[in-house]
Amino acid sequence: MSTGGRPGGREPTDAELVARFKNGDRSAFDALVSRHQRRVYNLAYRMLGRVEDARDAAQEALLSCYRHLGSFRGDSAFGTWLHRITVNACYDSLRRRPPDPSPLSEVVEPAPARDHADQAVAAVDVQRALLAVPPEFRGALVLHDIQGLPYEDVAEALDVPLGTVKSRLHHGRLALARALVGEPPPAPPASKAATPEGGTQDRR
Amino acid sequence: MNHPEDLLAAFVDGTATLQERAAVEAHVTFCSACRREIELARSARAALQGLPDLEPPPLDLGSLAAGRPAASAATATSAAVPTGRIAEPPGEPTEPSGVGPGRHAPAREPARAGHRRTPARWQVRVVQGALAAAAVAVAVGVFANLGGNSKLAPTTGSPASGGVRGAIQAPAAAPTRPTHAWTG
Repeated sequence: MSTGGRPGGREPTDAELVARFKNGDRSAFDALVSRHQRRVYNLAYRMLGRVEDARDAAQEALLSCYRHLGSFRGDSAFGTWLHRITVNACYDSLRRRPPDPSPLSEVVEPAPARDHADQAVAAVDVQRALLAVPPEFRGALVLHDIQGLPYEDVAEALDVPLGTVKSRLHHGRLALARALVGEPPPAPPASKAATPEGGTQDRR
Repeated sequence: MNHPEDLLAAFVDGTATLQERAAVEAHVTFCSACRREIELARSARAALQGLPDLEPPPLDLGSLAAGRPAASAATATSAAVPTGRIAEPPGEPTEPSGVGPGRHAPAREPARAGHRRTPARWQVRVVQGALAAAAVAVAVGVFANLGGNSKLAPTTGSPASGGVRGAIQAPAAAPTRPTHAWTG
């Protein structure tokens, strides 16, 4: 996520917009939203797999961001902080409405922004497999492999140590690869792979 | 066997250090299990990286605009975003719901002539986002010009910035206002 303006450009950085907002300039928040909402929504969609849920989570994340921006101290980049809020909104959504395994076959990939037929077909399968990955692992996968955040930012967004990020990434990738080929995860008994609390243990 | 499991993510990402890389490479010469895991992890990573970026639907931040004065950050941040659906973080006070959008904002925003969209909707649309970004660019451009001419650098947070901004935003307001419909 861009945490600043373009190099050499005149766009205000996120930090500048946050400062303006704190000084009473509400339009600064509009600018932050327009800059970040796409990533917020994509993060939510990849985590939740349903357009409605993703939209709701994205809205909640942005509203929560608005509410708390006044007390945001800037210890981390605004973008990282917003990722964290969004991830939490997604986990809340999963807790409220745990995905039940059957609708996984009904995942419909919305029309991609960059339209490409082959890509879209494959994306449906990948998204379905992603939803079979335990949510904790999924968070690491979405933030790092899809959204490209460095480990350190993923660690902040998920509020876990760096080593945990790498562990979750690796095990999440294995779970995804297995789900992609229809192989059931080598999970412990009574596993329900897609419940929010179901995947905390790093197994091997 | 001690599998270098903690190194495999970085190995697959290509971000492992030389030593870590060497350790993994040495290990996989005799560990087919880890070799297989690296293959699987690489395929998963590639699949994820191939996912398209999706166009977000219009986001309805409806009540965001209600009940907050335009020029007070303190009020804005403590005042509510009263939506019943919103799960507050533990310990966060929530204002009761019931501030209906649509009545308050226009009174605060007299300069609404030429508005394309009814303010009651307050939806963030992607197009609006793009326009808003453009509007910011315009505003910043005005800043820059003014700063260059009068040496009033618009340093955010400086005591002067409020006055400077107030003076500058007047000319910028006409074209940019419609793009901020959802803020009321």
